[in-house]
Amino acid sequence: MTGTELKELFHESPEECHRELMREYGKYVYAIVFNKLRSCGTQEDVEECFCDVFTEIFLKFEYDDSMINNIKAYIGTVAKHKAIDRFRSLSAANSHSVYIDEEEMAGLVSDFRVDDHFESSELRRILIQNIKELGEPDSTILIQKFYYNRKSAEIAKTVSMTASSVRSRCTRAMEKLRGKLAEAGITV
Amino acid sequence: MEDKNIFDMLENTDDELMEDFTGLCPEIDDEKFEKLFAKSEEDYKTRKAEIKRAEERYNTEGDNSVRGVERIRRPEWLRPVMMAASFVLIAGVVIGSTAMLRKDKWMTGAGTSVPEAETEDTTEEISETTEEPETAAATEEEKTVIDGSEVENITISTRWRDTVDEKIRAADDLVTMQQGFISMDYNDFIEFAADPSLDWNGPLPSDMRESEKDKIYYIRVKDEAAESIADLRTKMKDSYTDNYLDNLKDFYNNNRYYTDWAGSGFDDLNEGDMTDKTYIFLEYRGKLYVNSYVKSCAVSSGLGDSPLIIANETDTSFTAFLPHVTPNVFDYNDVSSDEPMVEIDDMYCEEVKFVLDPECNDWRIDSRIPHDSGVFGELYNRAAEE
Repeated sequence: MTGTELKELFHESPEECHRELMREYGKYVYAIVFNKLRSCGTQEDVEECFCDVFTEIFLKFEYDDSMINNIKAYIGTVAKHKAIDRFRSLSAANSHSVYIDEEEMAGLVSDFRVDDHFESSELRRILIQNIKELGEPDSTILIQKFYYNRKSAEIAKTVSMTASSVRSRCTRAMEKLRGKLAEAGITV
Repeated sequence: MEDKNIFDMLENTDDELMEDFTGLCPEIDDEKFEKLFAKSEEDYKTRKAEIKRAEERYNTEGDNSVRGVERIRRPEWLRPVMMAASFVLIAGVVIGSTAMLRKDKWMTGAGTSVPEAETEDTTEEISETTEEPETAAATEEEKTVIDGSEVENITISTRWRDTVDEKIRAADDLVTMQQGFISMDYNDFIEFAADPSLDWNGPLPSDMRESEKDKIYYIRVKDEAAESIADLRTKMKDSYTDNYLDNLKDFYNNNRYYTDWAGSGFDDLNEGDMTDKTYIFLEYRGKLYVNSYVKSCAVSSGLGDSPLIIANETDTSFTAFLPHVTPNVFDYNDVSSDEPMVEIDDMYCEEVKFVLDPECNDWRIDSRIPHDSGVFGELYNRAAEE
């Protein structure tokens, strides 16, 4: 559904419009939020943040028409910002921050430069590329197992297989991925 | 564990890879979907109800504020007494001054020509007498001084409402990117790290407060009418005078969390690099960008029902005092703001000077000065008295 169609639906039934918005962009928002909170939040944290994002979007959708033409990008931006906020509050609550004196900070600053950033972006791209090249259902199984930390039984429902098949398929897919990454010069 | 470490690398991924993640993201089953939807819908209804309550409260308070001002009525008998007292005072000053002059002339020799320098001395001496300041004080009563500037002929105006409303809306829409003023491509944006020394010199949009502290995002402007800062300046001249645009930097330096309304010179920086400057518009490597948080600023809904105070009116200029609910000049009348509604006496305000542009016979904003709470209330009471 386009932004304009959603807006028309909003005039008929705001609740249906909200439901459709969440159905259309739910996975997208979940992927963004999970990506930011994976390291510091629980499943509940991710879901709470997910709800916050949609609450914000419902409100903006009602009062602000300017994002209708590019609604997906707008939703992506809101999701990213909300997830970053949540990440900060969770990190602070978990006391993840450590004291670094000025000398150490100077060292860190000089180490963290564009080259590093570029390198990790490039590694991510290669990793994703290689996972996708494994084909379905292996790519889905690997990502859901190791990135989304889902159980084999849960993944089994998604890919219409048994849990034991998912486990064995996962082991083989992981081996294949290792081989492909090694060919690309990445040792894991 | 080792397998998981590879996948940890995927955290905080770039936006361009997010499509892949969305494709590989597990489906949200119906039961979970309904649960999440119910929670979002409930939160939405709660927040919407809060907004409505705030709107109602604001409207009610606005009405009360306008009608509820207590006018001071002096007793009728006081009028002739005060007139008599004024007459005695003025007569005393005149007689006293004459007497002093005569005394000086007698001392220096009456009827003889007095050298120019001595005349000046005499005048100074007179000004040091006790009567003169009282005369000055009587004149001062007609004037109000706001931050060192005299404000005269203060009125609660209806005449200028439409002009002020239209110009201020246009000007604020322009710098807060409201109403689709310029088309943007949300998929194309750059990110810089904010230097911790950057002085966030004003209230940030409440929902962006945390995330804005150390990141600065700019979204690509894709609009044929505005491809550069020069184009923007041309557009802004419909609302502002050249003088104002030249001094806009000072305004942002002093009152906002932006270094300036527009800037360039970032071409050597790469994405993610740190900067201690933040602009509303940025020209970067030949492209025009807008600060992403500008879009998130509170909506300026114009004057609404708020009273408007006009002062210093001439044929070619006047000064408008616009009330704000919050100290942020772009948040006035922002009923969705978390800030509590305030009484007129506690309102912040912005002093906006309008001048007539003879070339197009239209009004332009020449200066905007924010004032702390109290100023608007003082002017309002003064205008109501008069």
